[in-house]
Amino acid sequence: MNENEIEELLGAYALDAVDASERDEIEAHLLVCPRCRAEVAAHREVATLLANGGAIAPEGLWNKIASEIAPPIPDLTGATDGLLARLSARGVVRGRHSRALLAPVLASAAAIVVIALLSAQVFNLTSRVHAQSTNALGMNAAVNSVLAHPHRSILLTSSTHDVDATVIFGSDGNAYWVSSNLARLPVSKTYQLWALVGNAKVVSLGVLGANPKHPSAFRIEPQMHELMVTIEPAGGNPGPTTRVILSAMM
Amino acid sequence: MRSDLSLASDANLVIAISRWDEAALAEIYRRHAGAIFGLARRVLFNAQVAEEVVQEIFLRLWSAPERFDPGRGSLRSFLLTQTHGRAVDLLRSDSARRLREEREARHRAEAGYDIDREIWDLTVAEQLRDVLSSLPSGEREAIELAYFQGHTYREVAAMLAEPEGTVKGRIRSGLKRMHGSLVASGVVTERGDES
Repeated sequence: MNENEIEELLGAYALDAVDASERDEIEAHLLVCPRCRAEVAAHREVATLLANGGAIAPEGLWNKIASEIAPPIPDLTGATDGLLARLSARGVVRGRHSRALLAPVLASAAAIVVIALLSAQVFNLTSRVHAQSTNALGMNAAVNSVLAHPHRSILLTSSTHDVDATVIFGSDGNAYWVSSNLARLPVSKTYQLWALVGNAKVVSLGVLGANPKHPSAFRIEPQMHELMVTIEPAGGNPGPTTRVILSAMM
Repeated sequence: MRSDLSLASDANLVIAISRWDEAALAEIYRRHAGAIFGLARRVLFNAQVAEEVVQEIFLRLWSAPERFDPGRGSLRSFLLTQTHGRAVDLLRSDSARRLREEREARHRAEAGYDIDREIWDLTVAEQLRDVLSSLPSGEREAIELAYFQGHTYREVAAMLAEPEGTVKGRIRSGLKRMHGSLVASGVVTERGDES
């Protein structure tokens, strides 16, 4: 289509009344034509007024939406024996799915266990942090409980000190990512939290998502002595692949 | 908390959503879910599927609030545009034959339908009635069939036995005419070209 033909279709396009191939051509044109974008916006403004109102949303619909965005907080109890407990300390064993995945792994040789669990760790931590970040009320209650008692906190900072994040430590071995001013990432990326153990060993404490503004929990071990944050592909990595953007000694 | 949110602008509520604020999404639902459901049900003629569309629209906003650009229009316009697009996609999907047939049957059962009945917002209802009544019948009919019944302009042309060029011209000129009248009456404001 030439430009005139596209312009003739802008009204139909604004009402979703064009074919898919025409829509693609028009949208490519709109990317480079502010005048046509403005015309489409005006058409849609009229359509919005025509569609404006006329119903009350069905009772119970909000509850369905709310249940979709706030899945139940995972079961945090039960990871108490041997290897499970140590893995739990790294934030691996949380919730029903985690234990199901871990069960066959525990029967394998130690080296295989480590490799398998590193993979499982990334998967499970993604689920865990997502669940907790969308259950703000439950997580806020846990954080408030820590804040109500004597506790320790640290500030992770960037090298330029213009970006930071606060972590607080509970008396039960839980630590909480409380807040940060990190910029929101594209959905293909996530912030990931790491701990330095000993001189050179780095373990993942969890993926924080693309926009870690709200509290999430992780567990720490006594031998961990530094926290770090990197940007990784969505879902996280077994090990850090980009430079550290925030860090703090514990 | 409740009163703070009820006073917040839509744009600020969307910013709060980007921080995973569920209460902000609930407030947006309170303000706009009725309109979204009404449009989806109107296009689909099926309350159950319309409900699913509403869910999808709000979950989309929750997962990708950055897609809303307040510089390009109101949140309600953004949500209704998304709603209409999704409803039309459902109607045109290959698997929606039964949905379309049911909808046609219900349309036939409601003879004498008039889009004036759908105008619900009392603050602008009078102006919209005037604007609609001033439209040439061909323009009004083409817009009705395209927007509220989800037909493409080619389908509208076939239904009205008019050339395709005539129909797409009528849709465009009708929308322009309505916009001009609504600007003149102060219902909408004139917007310049985007930069």
